[in-house]
Amino acid sequence: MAMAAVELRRKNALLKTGALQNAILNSANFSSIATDDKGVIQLFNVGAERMLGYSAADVVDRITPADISDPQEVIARAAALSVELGTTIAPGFEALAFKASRGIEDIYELTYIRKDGSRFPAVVSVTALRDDELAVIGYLLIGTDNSARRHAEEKLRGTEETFRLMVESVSDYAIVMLDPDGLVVSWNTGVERIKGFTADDIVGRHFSTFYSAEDVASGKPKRALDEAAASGRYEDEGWRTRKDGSMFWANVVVTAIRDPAGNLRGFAKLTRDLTERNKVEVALTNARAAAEKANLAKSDFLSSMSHELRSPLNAILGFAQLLESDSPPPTAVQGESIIQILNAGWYLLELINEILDLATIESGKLSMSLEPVSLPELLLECHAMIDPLAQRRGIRMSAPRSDAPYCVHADRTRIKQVLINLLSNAIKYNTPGGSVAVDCTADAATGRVRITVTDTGAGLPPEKLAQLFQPFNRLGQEVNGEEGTGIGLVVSKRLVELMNGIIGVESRTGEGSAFWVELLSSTPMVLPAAVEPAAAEESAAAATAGLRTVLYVEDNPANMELVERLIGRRKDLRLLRAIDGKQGVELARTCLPHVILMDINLPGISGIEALRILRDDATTAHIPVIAVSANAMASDVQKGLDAGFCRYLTKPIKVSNFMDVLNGALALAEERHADVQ
Amino acid sequence: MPTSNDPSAARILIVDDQRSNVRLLEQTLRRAGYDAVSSTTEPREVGALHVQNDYDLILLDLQMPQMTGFEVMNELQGTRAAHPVSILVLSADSTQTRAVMAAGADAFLGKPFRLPDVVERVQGMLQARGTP
Repeated sequence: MAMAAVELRRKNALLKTGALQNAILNSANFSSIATDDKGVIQLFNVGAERMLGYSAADVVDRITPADISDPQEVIARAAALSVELGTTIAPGFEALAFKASRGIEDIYELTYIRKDGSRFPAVVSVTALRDDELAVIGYLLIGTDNSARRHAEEKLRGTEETFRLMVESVSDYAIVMLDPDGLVVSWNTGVERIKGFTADDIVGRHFSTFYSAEDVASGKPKRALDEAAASGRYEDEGWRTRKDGSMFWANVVVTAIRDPAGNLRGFAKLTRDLTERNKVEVALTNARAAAEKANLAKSDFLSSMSHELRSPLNAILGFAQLLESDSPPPTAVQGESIIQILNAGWYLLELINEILDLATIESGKLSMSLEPVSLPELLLECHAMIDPLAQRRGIRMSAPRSDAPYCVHADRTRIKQVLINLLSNAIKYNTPGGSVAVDCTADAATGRVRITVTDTGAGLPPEKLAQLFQPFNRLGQEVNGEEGTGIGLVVSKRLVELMNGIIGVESRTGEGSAFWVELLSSTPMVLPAAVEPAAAEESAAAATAGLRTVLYVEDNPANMELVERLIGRRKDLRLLRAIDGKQGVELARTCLPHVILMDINLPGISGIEALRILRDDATTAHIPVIAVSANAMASDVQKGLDAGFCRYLTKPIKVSNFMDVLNGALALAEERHADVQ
Repeated sequence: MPTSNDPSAARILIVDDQRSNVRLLEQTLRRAGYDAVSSTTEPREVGALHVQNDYDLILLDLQMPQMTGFEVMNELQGTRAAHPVSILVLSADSTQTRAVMAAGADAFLGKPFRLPDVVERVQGMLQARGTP
């Protein structure tokens, strides 16, 4: 009875713990099991009931927690604790509570067995419950279901295993883990393949072994780690050493590895052997250089070939011409033969010229001077050049309309070449009695002007259109006996593209073709109103001491006209005109103008060369020369000023600026004149 | 300087290392009425010939093995002949046009040329200097 009374007292004491007790009892997520000092369950809360499937009534005063634990695990724990603590611990509740009974905090994992026999992993914390005299009166076991965590851990272990296997099996990358000091901790098979080292060679050694002696001496390995530690990552490309001393070109990435608290745990070093890629790159570079060299050689060859071919051709054509105009004149049959020689000869020359043109374009040696070109004027010039051919062939050519004042951004000489090519094709490949029309339209949306040359020839089927712009492809015209090289359109296409334009064709079999060129529209030069006749007379009358002369050297008529009108407004100025550098220099020497305006891109000698000639001549050296050029790049301007132009005006000419610069130059001329006197 | 209108009075020198070219130009100019046409295939003689004969016009080839047309023009600028000579350069290399003009030539014709073009150019140049 006394025993029973003591037990009751202990139990009451145990139950007297109030709020804590309630909390424990009401927690549904933790199993709280309280036992007496023998381990017999006294309390079994809601959480325990839910987790283990027993009701409190099933277990209280009946079993110990050891009875709901995996017996094998309890035995194993007893054995392990016996060894650990040097005392015999019986398998049973003692194995679960022994540490707690000695005041040692104890948390362990074990497998609980539910009432239905199913099992689940649990983490259990065991605490001894003591009375006022510190005697153990029972134990509290708080447990959590560890299934989810265990599952996650297993999954993680699986992932880690997969990852480890993956890293290990990677053979194209050498992956080395380093400790914070740079000693090799672990590595993968890639290290063996790429560097030739085996694990025994390198684990525990400093990773600088991978570097050349010079790199080590210069502190490169240390710098790599310092940088990776500082910025998280270090990358480098360079030569590295294999075990056998041979070198390989490597890409190296070193990444710092830190724990969540930010402490440096080591480095991961990833090395890739780029020797092959490097070889491929070198081979590619060499191949490219060789191809460029070959292309240049080809262009040079074509260029010198065409010159070489011209010399004998000169004799053939020359003497044939002499025979043709001989006295006494050749017989009719001889005349016929001579014409054949001449026709073939001139055709051969045309062929050579076109090949040279193409070679020049392809070698990138062709220089373009893009400036506003007035189309009505240009088309009239082309018409005048091509009309004789049209008349010989009996083709009607409508004169181009000059009312549409279109202006395009182009190289004057080259756009003319393109249009002449299109026009002569339209005439040559027309039908007898056919016609050729030229039209211009502007598209405000694209800012382009389209020039279309329409013929009434046989037209081309779609499959032939695609071959039109291929060199030497004459689309079967050779059998029709029409001379041509098949290069003309190719050259035209390249030229148009160099002028930032587009060339194209639309054609219908039996109706004819329409070849078009689209070029960027340019603001037409706004010409000031022509000077009134009265004023002109006045200025002529004023040809006295006060009249000053300005020489303008320019080959573009539109620019010339603009300047003519600007100068025409000034009664004190007279304009002299020259259309090329040679003429300009001659005029300057004979007329000694006060100021010279000089275009840079001139036929024959350039504006810069003309300036040099003027500077070298004592009679003209003092004349201020202003450059007027479409080359508006800063480098062009600098080049011009370096050459000795006193000012550099870019086209299109801005009227007010032009007058300011001209006045400045006139003032400068006065000063120099005064100095001379 | 001859002032008569007789084309035969204009003193013309043809310089080309190829005999066929020399013959071609000679015959062309003679047919056009220029009688005082002489020639050489040796560019190194040009300077001395000019001092001796005071030509009105020299027709000059560019690519000659002994001496280039540029060198000839350079030498002519230094010669002390009575009058400056007009120079017409004839070359197969039309890319040299600018350089040729800068070196002191008065005109340039590409080879092969049309014979009427040569005659027209020669006439124009002689007229410009007051020689027919």
